[in-house]
Amino acid sequence: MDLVEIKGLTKTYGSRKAVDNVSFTIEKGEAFGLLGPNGAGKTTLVSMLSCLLKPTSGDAFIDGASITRDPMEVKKKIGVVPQEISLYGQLTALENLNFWAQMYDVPPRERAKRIESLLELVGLADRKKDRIDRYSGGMKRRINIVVGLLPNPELLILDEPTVGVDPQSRTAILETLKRLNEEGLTILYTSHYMEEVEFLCPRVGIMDLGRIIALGTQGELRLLVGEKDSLRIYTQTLIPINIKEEIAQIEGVSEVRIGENFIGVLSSRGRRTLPAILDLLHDREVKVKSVEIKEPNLENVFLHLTGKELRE
Amino acid sequence: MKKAWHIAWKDVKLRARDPSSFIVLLLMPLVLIFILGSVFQSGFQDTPFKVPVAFVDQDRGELSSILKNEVLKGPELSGMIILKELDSPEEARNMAIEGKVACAIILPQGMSEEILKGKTATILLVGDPEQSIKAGVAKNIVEQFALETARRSVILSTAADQLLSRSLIQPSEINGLVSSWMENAPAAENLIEIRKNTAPDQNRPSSAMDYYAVGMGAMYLLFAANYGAKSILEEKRRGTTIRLLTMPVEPFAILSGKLMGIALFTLLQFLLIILFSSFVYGVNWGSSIFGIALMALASVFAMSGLGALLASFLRTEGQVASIGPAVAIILAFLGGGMITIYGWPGWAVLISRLTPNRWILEGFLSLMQGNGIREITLPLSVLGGMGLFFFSIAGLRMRWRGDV
Repeated sequence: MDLVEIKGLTKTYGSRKAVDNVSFTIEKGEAFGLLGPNGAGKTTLVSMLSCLLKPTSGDAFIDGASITRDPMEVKKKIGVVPQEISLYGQLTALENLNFWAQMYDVPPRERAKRIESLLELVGLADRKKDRIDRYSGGMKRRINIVVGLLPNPELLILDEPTVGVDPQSRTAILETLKRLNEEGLTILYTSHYMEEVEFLCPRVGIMDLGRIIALGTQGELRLLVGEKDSLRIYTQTLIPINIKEEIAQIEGVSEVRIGENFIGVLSSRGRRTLPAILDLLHDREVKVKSVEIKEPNLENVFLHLTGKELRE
Repeated sequence: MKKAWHIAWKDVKLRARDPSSFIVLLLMPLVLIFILGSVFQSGFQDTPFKVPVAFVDQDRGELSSILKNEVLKGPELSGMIILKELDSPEEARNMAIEGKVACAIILPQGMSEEILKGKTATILLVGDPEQSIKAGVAKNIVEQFALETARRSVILSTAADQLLSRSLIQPSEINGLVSSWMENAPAAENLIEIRKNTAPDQNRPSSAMDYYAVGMGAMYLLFAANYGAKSILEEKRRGTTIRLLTMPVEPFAILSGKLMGIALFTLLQFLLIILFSSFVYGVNWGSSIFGIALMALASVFAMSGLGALLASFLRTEGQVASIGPAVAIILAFLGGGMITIYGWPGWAVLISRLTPNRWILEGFLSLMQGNGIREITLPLSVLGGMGLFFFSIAGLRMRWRGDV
């Protein structure tokens, strides 16, 4: 059963289309990832689903409620975790959560219990009386997520919720979200971190320039690249400009990308291509620092589809 | 409305926990009140309720002499009335119009004779509209004198008629008799009850501390309102407004909550200033608690509205932080919060009346002089109107600009 149904959502600013005719669905209980580089249109799409922006055309339905015709009903069904840490630094975590719970209409009788259990969930129950401005970045992020969970939402929308978070906190956040999803919470998760989406979301939509350019399960998306390995060769010396064409002529190589200090290669012959590339680099007096070989992943898919990297 | 209240109360808590707000909004005004009140006290000693009066006696009769020497220069009023005797009615009139005196009293030629004959005589009074209270005092005195004179005139005329009709005296004896009665009559100042209570309580004039408690209090009301209004832009920058808008909260409730928060915080700050200045500096805010409460509410309403209005026209917190205080200081200056409002020229008075500060001063000074709610109706109405106007425009601007 679809909880979210997006039909031809478009948002234009002047002649620029920030979101261009996007359509997809999210099933109840699913964790859906929206992957794309900065500026792809993810935040605009999420803002429309959160009823912050009115679409130029199209509509979306959350549990049957239209974002254009019944935004207040939609707001009762969603919890939103914005990119910014939207908390009051001078208030304690408990005061913050009480305030936001009042805004979400959490009944007073349930409020304390729900706040307590959510603080336990993110491991901050013992710090609840501390002011937010005394929290670390990771702790603030966790409280930021708790706010979105306060209304017991049908759908939790998270817009790049781990920006600027240390790896330890990021892992803790993702594991918490995974557990909540396993308990039945529907999640829409946007990120430009491939690893996060790969960890959390079985089904992924890849966005670029306002459009969904690929959509499916992770396995389905990897098939777009084929059984290709991703090689990354880091160099110590400058990379000659014309070497890209020479590498592309090596058997099995399907894509070549030259970075500032690396060469990225997508090859159907995987590791067997590597000696030929290294020989070529040796001949051209390019000193190799290290080599990385990766199985196909969403990064490769994005590279394959757009010719650029997610974090450009 | 419940959510608006939660938003407002949260804002008050946030401001109260900001140490800079304690220094800027509470400590600073109290220090300034103390400094200004102490420094300018000497200039305040005899400022209120000296009533300068231009006096032209074209009559030079018995009654004009009584009015001048026994009433206006009498022991009862000599400390309050500053009499400037002139020959030219025109000069006296001009002095009143120009505000050099509060009132001109012109006694026409033959006035005493006409009154003693039982005929009508006219006393001309010209008051300075900007010194209406003082002019009112002079008017009261003259009215009391005229009434008392008319009463005695009727008695004398009736008595003389009776004596003549019974042939107890001859008509030629009347003038001499009236003069002798007048001499034996009780002194005029004892008979004319001067209604001092129509003027502000002269036994308790506003001290400099009283004056600047209101003046600085009014100025810092706008500082506090600016502080609150700045939070609207701050919340927008921090993304908390956006977060609120993703929740089931009507934008109107968010806007109302923010504006209520400004007013609530400003009210708390003003009440603390009133209480502290009253108990520590001995400032007399008046005896009408209800009047003080109403004036405080009206003042807060107008100044909070003005703060919100300013924020609705400025784009960044930095702009509010720099322009807001500048506006507060200019308005305090124009509204009489820094220089006492007594004796200002007409154009300056006109400008000052465009500022909420002036009306706050007028209202509270009136209460301080022992007046009640009836006397502060005008300041209350003007401040209420200003607040309504400011809040309406600010609300519309903020919605239009998408602040909430």
